[in-house]
Formats: sequence, C-alpha cells, structure tokens
Amino acid sequence: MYVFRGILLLLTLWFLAVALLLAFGESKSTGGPLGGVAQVYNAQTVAETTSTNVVAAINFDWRAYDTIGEASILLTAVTGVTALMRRYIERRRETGAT
Amino acid sequence: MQQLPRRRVQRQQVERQAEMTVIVRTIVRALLPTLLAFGIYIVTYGHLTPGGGFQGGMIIVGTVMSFYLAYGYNIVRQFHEEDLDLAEHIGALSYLFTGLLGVVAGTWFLTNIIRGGTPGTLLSGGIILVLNFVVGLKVASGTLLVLLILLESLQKGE
Repeated sequence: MYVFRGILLLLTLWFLAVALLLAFGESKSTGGPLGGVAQVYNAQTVAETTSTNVVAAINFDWRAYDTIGEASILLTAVTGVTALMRRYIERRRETGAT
Repeated sequence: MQQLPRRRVQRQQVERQAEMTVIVRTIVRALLPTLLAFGIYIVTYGHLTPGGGFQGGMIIVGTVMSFYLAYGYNIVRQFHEEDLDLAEHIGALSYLFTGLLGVVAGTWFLTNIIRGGTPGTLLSGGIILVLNFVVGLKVASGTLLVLLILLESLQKGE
C-alpha cells in the first residue's frame, strides 16, 4: 500500500514538474520576463482603460465576465446560508432589532 | 429622579452588556470613522491604488465585527437583515445592468463604454469605478448578512 502511494506521489510530482517546465518554457519563448498576454496587459492598461491599477483593470474590464461568476459565488453562499439557517433568521426577527 | 433621554438609556444598557473593558470599547469607538473611511477609500480608489470592491467591502465588515467583539451581540442586532438582503440584490442587479449598458450602446456585454478622463484621477476608468462600488456594496452587505446569521446561531435560545 505504501509503495503504491509512493509511486502515485512520484507520478504526481513528475506531472507537476513537467507542467511547470512547459509553462515557464512557453513564457520564455515569447521573450522577456513577462510572456504572452502579460505584456499586453502591462503595455495597454493605461491607454485602453484609463485605470492605473492593472489588477482592477483585469478584474473589472477585460475579465469583468469572470467577476460576475466571482460575485455570484458570494450571492449563492448568502442564499445557501439564509436557506439553511432560516430558523435563526426567524428567531432574530422575533427577538426584534432594538 | 431625573428622566434620562431614551437614547442615553439605551446606550447605558449597551455599555452594561459589553463584553470587553472600557479601554477596548473606547479605542473601537474612536477608530470607527477612520476604519469606515479607509474601507470606503479602498472601494472608491480601487482603479487607482491596490484594492477594490472585494477588499474594501471586507474592511467595512471588519469594522462592524470589531464592534461586535468590543460591545457584544446586542450592538450588531440593530441591523435589519431585510436591508442587507436588499442591498446585496441591488448590488448584483446593478452589476448586470452596468454590463447591459454595453449592449445598449451597440457593443458587447460589459464593454467599458464610458471610459475617459485623465488616468490617475478619481473620475477615470469608466465602468471599473462603477463596478468597484457595486461589488463593494454587495460584498459588504452579503458577508455582513452571513456573519449576523451565524452570530445569531451562536446565541442561546430562549
């Protein structure tokens, strides 16, 4: 059993190493420390979005569609909590907001 | 006996039920405007400095939670959960309607159509500013609602 787990661990680490090498090799092939789309973000943020915060520009302009998903996670979490803990909401309502 | 104003009686009750010492309570009360202003600053200047709607909203929630830690449960009971629920839904719908502005203008969903202004000033970034504000409202009210319900579940039932 331990041997099997050891082999599995080694395989996972090898796979991770290959994936990381591929990823960093890919970025190096485009030249410069920033590869691929990072260069575009770095060069075009201020010109295209008139925002000086690159993270905010990515979150709310280029990838704003992803942020909808991110915000809907919170909405789903709140909906789940209010549905599961309805008992406590009712008790809170009965004891009354002072 | 002199009749005290109702607000002052309420305040005395709150002080009596407090969980922490007067030092902690005074510091939290003195820090309230600073912490709230910091949270609102992080939300509003999200497109210029590090931060944004998510982070600033959590700072505002942290302000309220520090009041809970210092004063006990009764101070956070003053929030109505319907208001927080409404604020959360207004935030979510405003995000979608801001995205639909792009469709109305003839481009794609969530296109930054109102970009403009000089970079580095407050009124720039177009929908980034709007979406930061909306997400800040949503995160603050939603997380506060969840935390208030969880805090109610910690209280002993009658």
